[in-house]
Amino acid sequence: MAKLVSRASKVVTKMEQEGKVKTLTFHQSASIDHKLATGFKKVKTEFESKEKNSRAYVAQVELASFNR
Amino acid sequence: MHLDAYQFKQFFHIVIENLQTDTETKHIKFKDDNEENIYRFFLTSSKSYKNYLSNSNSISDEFKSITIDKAMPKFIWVGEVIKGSTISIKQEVQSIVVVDATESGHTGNLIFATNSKYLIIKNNDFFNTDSEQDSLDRRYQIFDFGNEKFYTFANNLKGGHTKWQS
Repeated sequence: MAKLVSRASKVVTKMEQEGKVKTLTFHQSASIDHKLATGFKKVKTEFESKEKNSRAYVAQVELASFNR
Repeated sequence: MHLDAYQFKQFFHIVIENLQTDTETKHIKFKDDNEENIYRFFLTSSKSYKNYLSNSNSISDEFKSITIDKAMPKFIWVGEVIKGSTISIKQEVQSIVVVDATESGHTGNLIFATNSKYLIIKNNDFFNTDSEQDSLDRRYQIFDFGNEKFYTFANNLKGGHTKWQS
């Protein structure tokens, strides 16, 4: 594992020297993460709500057929 | 799985939209809105995907080192963007987004995103010392690779990395 770590580290250092790497600041990275986390939360909430509604709908259908 | 296919599909588009509009990453084009695109989503093991990366002749050794040495969870979601309206077995992929499929939190863990030129990744796993690691902790790095060529991932979970069946 140590060998692998060191290989990637060497590549990063080499590419940094060649000016091919841009490291974002902590705030820039946090800003991206925040946007992704907000989007992710929205996806999760929407999915949970849809799932809940579909369960409620199935329950209604089952109840209606039971009462018939 | 903490992230199912529907959720990943939605999140994939959120990742692309956000990276294409963020001031620091908007120069990275993951898809061309004026052209027809095919999106391919699949769940795979990180071992299987790393095996695919390491066996790809069209990917540079530098790209392989950085992505293969990245610590990944056991299962990952991969989204591929393919230009055009038809798909074949081995087709060029315009961009790739890899996300943690086992993430139980609410952040949506982006592992890396790449198009043929740029790779965006948090690479703080690569450094040996704590101080080096701390200095990059939770920071994204954008690598300029010039022109990598990716092809559609095949033989998903067929034991390619163990030579069991491929």
